[in-house]
Amino acid sequence: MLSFKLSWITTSLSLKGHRKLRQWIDWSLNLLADPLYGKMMTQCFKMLTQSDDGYLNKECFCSVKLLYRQRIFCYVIEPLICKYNTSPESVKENYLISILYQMDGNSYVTLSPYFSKILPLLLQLLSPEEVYVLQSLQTFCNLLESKTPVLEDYLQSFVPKLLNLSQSSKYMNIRIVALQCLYNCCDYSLIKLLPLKRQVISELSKCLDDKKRLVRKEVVRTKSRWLSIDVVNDDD
Amino acid sequence: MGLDNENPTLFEKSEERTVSAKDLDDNEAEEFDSREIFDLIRGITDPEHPLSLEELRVVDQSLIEVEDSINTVKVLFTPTIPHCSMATLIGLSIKVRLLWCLPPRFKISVTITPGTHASEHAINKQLDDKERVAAALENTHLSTVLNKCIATA
Repeated sequence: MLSFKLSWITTSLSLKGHRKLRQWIDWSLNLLADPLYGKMMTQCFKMLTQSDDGYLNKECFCSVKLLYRQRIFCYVIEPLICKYNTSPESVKENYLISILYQMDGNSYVTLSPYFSKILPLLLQLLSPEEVYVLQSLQTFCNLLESKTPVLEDYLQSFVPKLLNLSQSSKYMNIRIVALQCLYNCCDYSLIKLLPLKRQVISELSKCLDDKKRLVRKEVVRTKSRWLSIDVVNDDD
Repeated sequence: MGLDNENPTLFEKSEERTVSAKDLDDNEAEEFDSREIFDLIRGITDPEHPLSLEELRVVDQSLIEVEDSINTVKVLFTPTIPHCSMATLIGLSIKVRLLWCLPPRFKISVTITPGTHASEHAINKQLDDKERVAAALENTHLSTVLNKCIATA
């Protein structure tokens, strides 16, 4: 209950850009480390990125300052990443969930200056043993869908991880989202994709025999797209 | 050069396959069935008209046989008219699409529905010959046409 109230107050202060905002955000950040309340505090970081239809909006005469989400993001992201890397296992995931919520709620333009710090974290998460791999994958998929230019340079590092996930993950949802990420990769420039094509096609062929039909459907969709990236269209 | 079949009869497209609870269960394995194969090839475009093979009833689910346990897939296709010159090309596009979309363990057989084409025996032989299929794919003009047909699948 306490953490819930804290979240609402922090959100309303952030909307207004109140001068005491920093203090409240710092309290929220510190509470993430608490073994009892940490999990619930992650909701606070989710709330900070969402717009509320009920009470905290312009229609209810709230003072909503411009770019408040972006301001919060820039303030919290570095402490969150730093704490994630240094915390013990028990609370690490609270930081991680908060980072993922913040990333989902902000656009590429806000995220891009911090990519070099965020990306190693995301890449670390893209392996089958990680617990939050599905959420990380979905965030990743959204980034790829919006054709984030920075990711183009990292194709060599994450494509093999995506291929590995699409084959060895136990859960079909993860395999499907990994394949969707690979599908979205085709939006990048041909020069970056061609060196990977042969490896992708041969790994995807192994996925064709997946035991679930929905996964097989995604494999066919992804493989067809990769096969067609260098097809020269001959308009007669 | 005029079209072979100026005015083909059109058929309705069937609904998308519904997703059942079993489909979403991680532990249930699902075998390949004729509907899955049909879904793979029904969208292939006819080389002459901007219509799919399903709409022209060239392929039909009832003419597809699948045996997952012995790794065989048999597809019968029906050219729209008995002297259709595109029959080989259509057969080839079905075969190539299945070669790319099914696991390598399957033996794929694509033949003309008996009695629906004048040169069915010759065409069936061509489609069955692995080397001829590979050679056809090497031909740039042919592979461009094939890619166009399969792109919509």
